[in-house]
Amino acid sequence: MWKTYYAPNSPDEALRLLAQYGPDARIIAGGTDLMVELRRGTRRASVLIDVSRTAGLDLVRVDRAGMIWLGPAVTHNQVVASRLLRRHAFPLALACWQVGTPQLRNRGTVVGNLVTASPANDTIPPLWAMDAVLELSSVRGGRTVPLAEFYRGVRRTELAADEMVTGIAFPKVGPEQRGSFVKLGLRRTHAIALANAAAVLSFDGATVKRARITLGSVAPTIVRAAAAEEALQGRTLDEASIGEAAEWAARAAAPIDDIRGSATYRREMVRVLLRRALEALRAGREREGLPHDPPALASGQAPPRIPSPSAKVDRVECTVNGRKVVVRGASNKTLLALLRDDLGLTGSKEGCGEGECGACTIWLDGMAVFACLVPAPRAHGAEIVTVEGLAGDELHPVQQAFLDEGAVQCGYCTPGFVMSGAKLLEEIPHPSREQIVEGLQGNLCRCTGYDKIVRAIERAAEAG
Amino acid sequence: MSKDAMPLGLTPAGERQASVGRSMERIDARAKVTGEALYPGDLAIPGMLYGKLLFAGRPHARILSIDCRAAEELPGVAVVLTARDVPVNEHGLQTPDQPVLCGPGSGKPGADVVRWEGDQVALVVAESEAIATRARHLIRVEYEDLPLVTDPFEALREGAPQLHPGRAPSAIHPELQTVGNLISHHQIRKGDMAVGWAQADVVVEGEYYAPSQEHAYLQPEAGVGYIDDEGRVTVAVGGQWAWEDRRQVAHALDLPEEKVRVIYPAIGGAFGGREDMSIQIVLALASWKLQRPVKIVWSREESIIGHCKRHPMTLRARWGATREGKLVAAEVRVVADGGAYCYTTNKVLGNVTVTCTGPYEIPNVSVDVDGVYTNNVPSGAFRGFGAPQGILAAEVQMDRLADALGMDPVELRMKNLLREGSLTAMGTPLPGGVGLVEVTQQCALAAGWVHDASGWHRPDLPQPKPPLRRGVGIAVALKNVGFSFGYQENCWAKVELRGGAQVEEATVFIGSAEVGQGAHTAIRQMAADALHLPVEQIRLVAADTATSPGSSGSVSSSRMTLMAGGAVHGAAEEALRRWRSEERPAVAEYTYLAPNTTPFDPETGYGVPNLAYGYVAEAVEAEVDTETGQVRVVRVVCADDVGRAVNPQQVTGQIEGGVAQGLGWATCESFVTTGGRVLTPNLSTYLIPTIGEMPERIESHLIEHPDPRVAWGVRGMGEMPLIPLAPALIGALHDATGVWFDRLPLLGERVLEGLRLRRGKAAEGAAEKSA
Repeated sequence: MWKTYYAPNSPDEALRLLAQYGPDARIIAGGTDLMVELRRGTRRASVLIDVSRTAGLDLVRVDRAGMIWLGPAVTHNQVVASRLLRRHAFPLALACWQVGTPQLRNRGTVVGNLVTASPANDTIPPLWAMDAVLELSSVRGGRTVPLAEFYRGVRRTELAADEMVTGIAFPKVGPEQRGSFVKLGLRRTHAIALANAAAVLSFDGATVKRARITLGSVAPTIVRAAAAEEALQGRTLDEASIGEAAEWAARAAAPIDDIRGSATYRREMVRVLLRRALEALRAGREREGLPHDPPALASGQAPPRIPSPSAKVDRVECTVNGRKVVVRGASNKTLLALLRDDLGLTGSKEGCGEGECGACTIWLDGMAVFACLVPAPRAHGAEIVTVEGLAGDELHPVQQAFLDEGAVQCGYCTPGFVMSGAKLLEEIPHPSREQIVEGLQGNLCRCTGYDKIVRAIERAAEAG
Repeated sequence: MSKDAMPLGLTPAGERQASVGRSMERIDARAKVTGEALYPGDLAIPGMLYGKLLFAGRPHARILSIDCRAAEELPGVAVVLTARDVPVNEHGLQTPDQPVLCGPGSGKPGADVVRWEGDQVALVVAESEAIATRARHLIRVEYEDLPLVTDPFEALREGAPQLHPGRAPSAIHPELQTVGNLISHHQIRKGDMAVGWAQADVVVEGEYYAPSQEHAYLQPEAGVGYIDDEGRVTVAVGGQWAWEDRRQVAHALDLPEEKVRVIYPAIGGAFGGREDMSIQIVLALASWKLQRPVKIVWSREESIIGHCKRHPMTLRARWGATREGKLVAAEVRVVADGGAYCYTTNKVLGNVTVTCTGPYEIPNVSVDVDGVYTNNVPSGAFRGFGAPQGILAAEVQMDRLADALGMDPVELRMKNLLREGSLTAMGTPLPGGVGLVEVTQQCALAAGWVHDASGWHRPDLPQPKPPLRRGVGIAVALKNVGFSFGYQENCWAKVELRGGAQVEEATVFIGSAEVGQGAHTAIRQMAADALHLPVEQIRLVAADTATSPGSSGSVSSSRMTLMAGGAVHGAAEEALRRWRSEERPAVAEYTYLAPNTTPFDPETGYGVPNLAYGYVAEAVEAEVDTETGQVRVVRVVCADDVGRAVNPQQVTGQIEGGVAQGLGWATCESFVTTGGRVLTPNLSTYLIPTIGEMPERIESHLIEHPDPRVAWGVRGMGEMPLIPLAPALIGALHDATGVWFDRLPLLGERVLEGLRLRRGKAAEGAAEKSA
């Protein structure tokens, strides 16, 4: 898929590598999009420059002018968990929560979502509605581009071959502002948006002073619905203004027919979604969509830095199930391939190779991730736990509960479920049913109907 | 058995809790939760090579030439196999209409034509997967595209491209056709339709579309081929019927069957999708030619393009009933898309023929069912085997009749359900122990129906806030258990008892596959009781043609517990007899022969097509978002007559899993093709239910109405819970919105369109009135 893998220690080193390899190189962070594209051959890169552990890039901070700044390695789950962002960038937090599954949110970054540039990507509409600006850097220097001007077409951006996005900056959603995000997919969880929308409104009392409304998945790029914004400005949120704005938003959409839905349906859904978003804002109910303590399937520690002075990784030295291992010749394969083929740990399964099924769920530095989407060299210096490492002398309580509840049928998904379930209980010892469902939404099972799996987690929680 | 008759050392049953009927831990579960269980893709043999298959990638074309030179010259490539390397280039479960590898030079007429995009053209075998993949890109195939036919109705027209010209009639499968693209035809003519229509006070007509469905077992096809220590070419793969795999491999390789061995390691789900060949033959061929181990692992995309799907079909139904709610006539016409090859189309459609008039006694019936070749992905077996499609039409027809009669849907069903001795559409009664009334009653009551002196009444559900609407629906189904239509059902098992004064080792040999359904656990429990031993003492040796010289048949048609029960019971009894006469070891083989069935009469359909049936009723409570059309199933009640629950926990596991698959088929699974090309070849485009789609409650009601003719009285049940879900959901949507839906899946867009049409009609009606 790729040939050489670098893990630069500093942003400057990343930029130098990018300048050196140009279009042959690709910045990778979570890899949740890129690894799929490389596997399918829809994107090619012989050099990967992994910035997921590069110093200073996973920070969320507020500058003196009150602008919020997100580094390029900030993950969706970091956003969901951040009090600052839940408070001052709520539409983004809500969108991040609705991206993929816990394992994808643990790895996938917001900047990666922006750079993939799919019109269906969920973080673009809220960031645009919040007037975000991107910081682009190369060895030639830096520049800032408003997110609104970043996109040139389907999956095409302003980014030059030697440039990377080194940050996103946007003003806080202030006390006089409120915003939301809404999404509709073909499934309730883990589905690409059929349509999505973000709205950020500034109020003067009950009057809308300024509105920003953006729509996703209904045009070649995310679009702003200026007429819908105008329909709200200077008015209060009532049935009439909301209805007009929703109507204008539907007209702003220029969707196509595809396998997920027709243009007509999408346009109609824009109307419904925006109306619902605005009604929620009117009623002050917009925050109901974001659970208070959503499971991240992560134990919370920051990923350790790479212990290597040299950026190029051609030898993977890591701890697997408590044992130190060194693997050579694995820098151009997935972590799943390393575990299965080089270490013979076949408990982690491949069911899809694209982060859909969860059969390869493992723990990487305390986080549940999909091993099929992690480059093997990313594991250099990391601590990995697979299903083989879960039991001590006795089975892990989750494993035992799977036996007791009969939660195993064909068993191919079981290792992934056990890893997600055990991590969930580490994070939330007594999860609600809702939290169990949220925690396990990244694992597919085709045999059990999930009922006994939920019961097994409940039983293990009681036992623990 | 009396205590005196007990073999020495065995505890009498009375002093020991029976194993059958208890929820015991699965035999394979521990290895599965620890990751130790080995699936075909986990197997590694030193010195193993890797194979990559080249698919046609186009749905209908003649291969003029294949140039493999560049691929063969790539360092690390061991061999590139094409049609000319296949000794007998044909295979097929029902009829050998499919080439092993498509291309010229094999001598098999028509083998140079590819008929679907997943047809296999060449196998590259190399030192690594990466080299094999690179070499596959270097193969040059010259194609001449042929006219496509992807619509089954078009395929039946005169002048349509012919996909399999020159077919010979089949003696064992008389329903197979030889002319045009018609694969098979079934018909029923019972009673007198003219009389039926004359008696009918109400007639309801509908056209239903039951779509395709992808199995999406979590483990894509994979396997290892090698030569075993006895010189047999051996394939360790996922499958459902090792003996049949072996027959097809041996046939294609032109080897005696004893030279071929099929082993099933842990299998990551099957659901019917592993009944037909995928990689078995080419794996055996490569390892036989090279005399080296070879491994093939399919990607998810290869799996979805490369294996069969549920049969999509259109069912046109016209049913009549009297004012009192007695069914008097049913006419059903079915056209099913069989795809490029006849997998089990003829048998699936036999089952549609049986089920498309529902579990009801109807005096006048006319049914015609056609299966058709097209250039789509072949249609094959999928949990339910035609019953989900047949029952979809039948049960929505029943709901609509009830609606037209102003009668409760349970009330109407109760008046017409088949009972002991009632005549089916085939003119014969169901075998004894008919549990339809019981499952329907239990299900309806549990779902909130009220039964009083005036009859059955649907519960009036509290309605959620707009735009949500909630409703409840119910459907009832029957489905055959075991192979049918005149086939002599059989299952082999062997029991071996070792020890001196006491049995120290009890081993059961059986050919059955464990695909996740729990058969091996159930077999062990039944063996324990048959041998009066604790279950821990039973060792099971299964799923290997080398250790099971007799066939146990396929794990399909919900048959394995019933059939294996008969075989294990027989073998155990005989082994115990020999033990008592001091034979050491005491060994007995037994082949259980199930009650016989008959083929359909070709004109009338008369006969006893099935040896046994399972009975199920399901109620679905669902919520519709009337602005987005999104449907959410809130609650499912399933009452299933299982005869005897050998392992109740595993039985409810089958119910919950069947409900989930039925829910997927009914709501979110959308297999899309255009011009024969699959547009949903991965799990990000073909969406199966996640945990988030499931209802909070699936309530299982196990009814144990034993089959008097069968060991332990068991009935098959693995498929039943999937079958009624879709029509029950359609009933719930009608209850919620007043709209009848007749096509699946019920995606938001389709539902919203239905609501819009109704609103349009209502507005028209209002306009007429005011005019």
